Amino acid sequence: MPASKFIAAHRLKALVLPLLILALWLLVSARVWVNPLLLPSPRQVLTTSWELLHTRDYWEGLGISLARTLTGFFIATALGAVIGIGLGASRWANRIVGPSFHAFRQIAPFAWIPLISAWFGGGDITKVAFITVAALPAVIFTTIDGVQNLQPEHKELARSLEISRWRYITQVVTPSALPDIFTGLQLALVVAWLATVGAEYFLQIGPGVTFYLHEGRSLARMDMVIFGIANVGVFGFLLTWLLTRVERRLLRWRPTQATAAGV
Amino acid sequence: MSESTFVGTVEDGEEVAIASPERRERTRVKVTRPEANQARHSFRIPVALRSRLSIIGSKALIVLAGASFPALVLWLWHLSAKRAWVSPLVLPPPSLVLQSFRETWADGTIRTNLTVSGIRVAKGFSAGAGIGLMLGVFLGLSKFFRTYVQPTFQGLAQVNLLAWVPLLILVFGIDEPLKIAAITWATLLPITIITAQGIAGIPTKWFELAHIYELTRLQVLWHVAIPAALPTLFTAIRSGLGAAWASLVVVELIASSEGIGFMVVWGRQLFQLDLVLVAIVLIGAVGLTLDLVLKGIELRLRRWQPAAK
Repeated sequence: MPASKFIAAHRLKALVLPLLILALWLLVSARVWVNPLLLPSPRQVLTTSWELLHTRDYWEGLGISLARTLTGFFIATALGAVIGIGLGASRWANRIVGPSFHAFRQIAPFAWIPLISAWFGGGDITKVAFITVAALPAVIFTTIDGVQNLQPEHKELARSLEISRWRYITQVVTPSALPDIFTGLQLALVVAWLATVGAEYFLQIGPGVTFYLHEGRSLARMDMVIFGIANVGVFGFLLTWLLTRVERRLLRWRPTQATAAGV
Repeated sequence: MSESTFVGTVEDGEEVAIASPERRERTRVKVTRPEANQARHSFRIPVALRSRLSIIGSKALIVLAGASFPALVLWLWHLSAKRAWVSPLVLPPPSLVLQSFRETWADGTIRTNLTVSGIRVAKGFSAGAGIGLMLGVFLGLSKFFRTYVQPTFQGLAQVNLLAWVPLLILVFGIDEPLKIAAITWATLLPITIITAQGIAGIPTKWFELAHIYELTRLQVLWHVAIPAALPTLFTAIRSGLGAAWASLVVVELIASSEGIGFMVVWGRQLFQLDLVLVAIVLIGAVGLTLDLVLKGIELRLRRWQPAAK
């Protein structure tokens, strides 16, 4: 197939720049142009990563971090979808709460951390609460958008059929807002992961996948820091990738459901 | 039902005789003003006036509705302080927060910290916006950049700022360069991505036309790409500025001895949560103002976009 060949060629081209950077890195560390404490050799980073990957702590920390992210994400999803549908469907609710919400969103979520930690301490519940609060606005705002983008024909049909408000919300509004809600979830997951890294950073430092970032920094072990960064990147990417797969799966029925919801 | 027509002016309450062609008799009708009987489509001026009044009224109602929620929160906060539901150490009463705002404003703490933060944002943002716009234009215009650079860029963008900070600290130390570098990176990401999207979204026809006229690359950039993508570029700038402000707070929380983010840390260390709240409100107020101002400009820019199409 020419198309797949084209895509394969494209993927190969995407690898050119990273390989170039790697080559440069190898060259720089082989000739010791930069202090190896500041830029360890790729080999060093690999050995360190390999060692860390064989520790029990790493996998436990990873599990704990992912559990925090997903817990916060799911709570934010449930709360955000309900609040967003409510605000989107009721004009007055939106008028009353909307402006405050917009103003609230302007406060960088991390600014709350000192306050939250003063109130609730630095334990796991605080971390999850913070992740939830950070991820919530993304879900709420896209859900409101999705609800308000409801096609007028669907609205009119629902009105002329005189279906109940509950059925209107569950069978007309929600299905049609789903694609927008999923956009919000994508964003929320990215934010939740960021918030996890932040919570582990600012609140009590305990086990977690970002442990190596702090440990590496305080020991001035750049190889450890790079390992930590790679972890944050890889798992951030994997989480989003997984969500796109779930989204495609769930929204496959959408066209049929959309017509069924109107009737 | 038959309709009768009547032409002429009458006073309020005056009785007018109208001849009905069907009934062949005169009926007497009492004329009342539209305000009195609430009828629509009657006299012109009062209707226009009324609709304007009702628009003002409903706008006022919307503003009132928007203000009611913060007012409720404030009242609950005040009440909880007054009834001592929570310790004032944990949740200082609004009056104390207001008082410490006044004090820190009067002794210049707020102004010094805001200035320091403002300079940091200005430096980091202008560097980030410059690099981001350039990178975005390259990614949007050149296929070469899109195939070779974009995937790597997107990969790097996956790693969030906080993960880069330890690396940046080891490279730059914890002083000013760290903050500028972090803000630059945070600004650069959204600006590059949105700019590239905006430029890639310009209709190909325009570039073909430019090609026919044999415009140089620079001319294409200056006369086609930038004007067409201008509103999007502005959206990019707005998100970049938002990101710059948010990342400023983050780096100041991590390592600083002055600045608005440091005020939060400082208040927390002294366990003076009123100071923390003052700083948080300030962070929100500045962020909101920046966003609203830029949004206003953006709306103005978007206004002429259809005309350009």
